[in-house]
Amino acid sequence: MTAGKQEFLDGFRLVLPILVAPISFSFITGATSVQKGLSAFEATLMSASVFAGGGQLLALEVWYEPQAWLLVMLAAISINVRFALQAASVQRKINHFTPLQRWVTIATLTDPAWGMSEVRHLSRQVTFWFISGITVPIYLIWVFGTLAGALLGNLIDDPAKLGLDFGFIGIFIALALPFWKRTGALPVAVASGAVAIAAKLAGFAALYVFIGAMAGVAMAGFMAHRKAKRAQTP
Amino acid sequence: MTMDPYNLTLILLVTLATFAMRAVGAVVMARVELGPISSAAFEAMPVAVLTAVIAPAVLTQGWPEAIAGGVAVLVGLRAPTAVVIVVAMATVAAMRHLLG
Repeated sequence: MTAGKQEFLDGFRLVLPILVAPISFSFITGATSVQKGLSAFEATLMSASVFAGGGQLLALEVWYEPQAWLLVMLAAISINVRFALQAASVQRKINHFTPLQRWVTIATLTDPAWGMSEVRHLSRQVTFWFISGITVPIYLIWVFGTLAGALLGNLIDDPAKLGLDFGFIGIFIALALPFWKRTGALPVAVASGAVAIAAKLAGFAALYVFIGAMAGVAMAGFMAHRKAKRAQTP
Repeated sequence: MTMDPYNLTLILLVTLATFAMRAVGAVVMARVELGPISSAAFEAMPVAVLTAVIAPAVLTQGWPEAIAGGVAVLVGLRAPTAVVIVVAMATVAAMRHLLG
């Protein structure tokens, strides 16, 4: 067995137990996309080109609002800004890749590819084939799962009756839980949640996510500022 | 195979915005060191955004959504993602049936 093959299998074995998440997530994304008025082809194209479920679902929420062109980008940026941090960290570990390998890795970066590369880096050099072993199965599942969800979603006439519309919130809760458990997360979550609710009730139909998130980010900055000040004056 | 210019334009914009986030991280942020306050603000973004999506969806729509959200959080403390998704959908569907 070649070294590249072994590396690919190492990545694949790590990602295997968590593949159930992209399977269900992609299915919901496909079903939601067709409910929002995309064709099955458009839904699949979107998954193949965006390859970031949270951003896709959030963008679909504001798909028909006035100034949708701006709101969909804000939605994608606000949920996907974490990729900037993850890519910055991964970039430092993949300087030995060829430029093409580096750009493929960055353009298809996912939460698992980032997290597993960080852990791998603790014990050995991260290779392109290792990351491919993680990303290739996720990408294939993502695209074909969206197609399956879109085709089957077309057959369901009342998605709310089955709770399908709420699957999106289920996904977000599952994504948020590890963050909520971290120390210092509670004030940030309370600030963003409370302000988001207030903004929604005040009628900011499409911008409430962004407004709430900014309140949470401001709270995090404020807490870091206070901590830094305390450290200065013992 | 239907393609709508409106949908295709928005898909392109979402693609570009998402790619920009990944690329900015690799090209710009890998070269600059953030101070403690800006890095705390950046690190808080996922939890801030996720909570700003979840809280209004769970707490402003009615009892079925509030109950299902609470159940999903409790289940999620122990169970994996796929279980949380299924439990959230099943609970909201059952509550809508019972209460609606």
